[in-house]
Amino acid sequence: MESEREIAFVRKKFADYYANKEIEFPEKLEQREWGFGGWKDKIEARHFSFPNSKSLQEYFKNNAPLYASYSVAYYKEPEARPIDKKGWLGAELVFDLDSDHLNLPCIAKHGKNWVCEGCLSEVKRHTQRLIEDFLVPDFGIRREEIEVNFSGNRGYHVHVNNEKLNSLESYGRREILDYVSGTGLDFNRFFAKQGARLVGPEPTDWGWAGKVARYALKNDLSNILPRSIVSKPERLKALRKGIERGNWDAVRIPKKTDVWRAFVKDLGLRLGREVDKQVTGDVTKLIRAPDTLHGGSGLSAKRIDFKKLDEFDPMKDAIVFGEEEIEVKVSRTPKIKFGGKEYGPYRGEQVKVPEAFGIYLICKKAAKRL
Amino acid sequence: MSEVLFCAKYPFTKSAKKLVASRQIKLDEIRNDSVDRGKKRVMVALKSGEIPRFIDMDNVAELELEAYAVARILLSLLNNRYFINRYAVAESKRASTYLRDDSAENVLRVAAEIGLEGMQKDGEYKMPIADYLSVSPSSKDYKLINKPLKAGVVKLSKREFTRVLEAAVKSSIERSLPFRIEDVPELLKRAAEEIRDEAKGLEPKYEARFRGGEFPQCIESLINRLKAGENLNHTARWALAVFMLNAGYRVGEIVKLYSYAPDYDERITRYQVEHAKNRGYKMPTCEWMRSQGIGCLPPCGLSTPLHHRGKRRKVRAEEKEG
Repeated sequence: MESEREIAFVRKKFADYYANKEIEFPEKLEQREWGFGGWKDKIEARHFSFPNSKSLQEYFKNNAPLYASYSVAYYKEPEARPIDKKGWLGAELVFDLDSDHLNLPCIAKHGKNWVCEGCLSEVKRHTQRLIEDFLVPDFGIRREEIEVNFSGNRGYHVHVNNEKLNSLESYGRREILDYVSGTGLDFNRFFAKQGARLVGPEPTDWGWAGKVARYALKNDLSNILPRSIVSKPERLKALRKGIERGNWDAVRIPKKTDVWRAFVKDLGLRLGREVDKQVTGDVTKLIRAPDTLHGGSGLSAKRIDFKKLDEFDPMKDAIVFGEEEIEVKVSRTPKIKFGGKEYGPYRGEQVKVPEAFGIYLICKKAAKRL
Repeated sequence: MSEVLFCAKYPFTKSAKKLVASRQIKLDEIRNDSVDRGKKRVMVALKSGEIPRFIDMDNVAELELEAYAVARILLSLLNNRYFINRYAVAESKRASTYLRDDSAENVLRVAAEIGLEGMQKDGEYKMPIADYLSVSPSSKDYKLINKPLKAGVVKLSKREFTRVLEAAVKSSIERSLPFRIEDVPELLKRAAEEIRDEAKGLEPKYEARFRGGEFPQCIESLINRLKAGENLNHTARWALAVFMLNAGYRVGEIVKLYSYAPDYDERITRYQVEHAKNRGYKMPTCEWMRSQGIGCLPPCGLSTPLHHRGKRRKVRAEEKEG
């Protein structure tokens, strides 16, 4: 597809945006490596470094990059190459939560290129769980050490800035990732048979043990328990009462070990396949700079006060471009909710849409300017 | 316990280093018998993988401390990664036997002196998560997800806590050696040469070849790490053994391959490999290998490392036909 006109248009819009925007750059700016991307690749050039925020702001004004990422790591010499010459000093702990990782059924409806309200609310729920169920209570991370931003497309990035955790190498980071994603949970360590009785964790236990018990008490168990129990409230109640004391056998469940094993297996956060998980494990990774624009959507990778995460709607709150109408030819899209309005589905038609939505479609490579 | 006893039991601690430094012994003042003791300490570690405990007396403790210092000089002169790692395993195991019997106060003191925070109450130990993750042994038993964790602190039994310290001691010795040393007296140089001679044959030499080509990348990387003297964790060793068994290698060949491991013990290794063989373990999938952090990077695109051979052979067969 000949897209030079589109590229020029988007670049112009991005340049206008950066000309008037003061960006809040990360801590230890001078020790970060930067990478920038264009129409084809999210990172086309890397190994940049900037001594201060003024020089970086200049760069944004002059170049209007379609994608801007910086290293989670900080280095003695961030522009040195190859990577092992940079002098690694530490790295933020970063989690990349993407609705694409969640195996949601709606993907079949709207395809991988698009997100719907369901995707966005599910990935938000995962982000909140990461913080409220794991980072704060288990890892003891203080809220002021956590920063959340919209990824700019279909998920969230959670940055943890904790002096001690920042020095962890890959191994420790992968362990944290396995912890939050429930990978390698050893069922037999938490459940044991005492005679014929199945004894398991109690809600007050530390770590995953307590988590498993609390989830069992809190979650709807109708999917995993046989109807004979689910349909009788008094049996469910007895079961719950047992679990509170670590007795997982208060009610007879056929094939109980298999039932609970299956239950435990699905409790972790879905952080994607191993390849994607590398964002956390890889201590040299580049990650989208918060508050910069995402060239695949034209939305801002907006920082969010996570107390207000609940109300945050990326398809409203991350929009930076205007309402002025532009005319585009749209190829094929599902129904899209954007800026509080519904659009489409489109099947190759010419339409007048607000500039912000037009840019969104063009960045998604689903529309051309007329 | 007297200070010198503490230092001799835990010669890698800050206190021990301070004590040795306070003696102000110059390199050329090191006596013949001290050199001998240092040499012995290295040799016994290399040969048996263990360093015996000493008699619990202050004057013996002084000699132990000297032997440790000399051993480190000799290992630095030898500058051999396999020797250093094998020695580090032996030193850390020795420390562990002391820690297990020692008071909570001393256990915590050792932890603090090697840079780890720890707490103890009613026999229950705790360690901050960042400290724990920086040194915990990479085995299933110490996997974070299976540990009690709350508010950034991991709860451990005394046995587990000392095992974590053991791993920390091992890696700290590995990292601290070799050090640069100049103007070395003949006596020490000669002792190092004697070790080199006597240890000939202890260093493994087995070269594994994959029939008809190269190993899959993930397996080759495990073999290379093993050869570099790295102490592979249980999972990695298991996966490697299962691959080799499934690829048709004999137990004896696999045991030879493991002789590169710094904590190698022929009898135990043979038992474990035979056990794996009798169990008939199937090769895990590439996905599983990746989940354990030992998969191909970038991913090879196969479903099991065993397919690697098949695929290559197929390619070769086509080439032949062509």
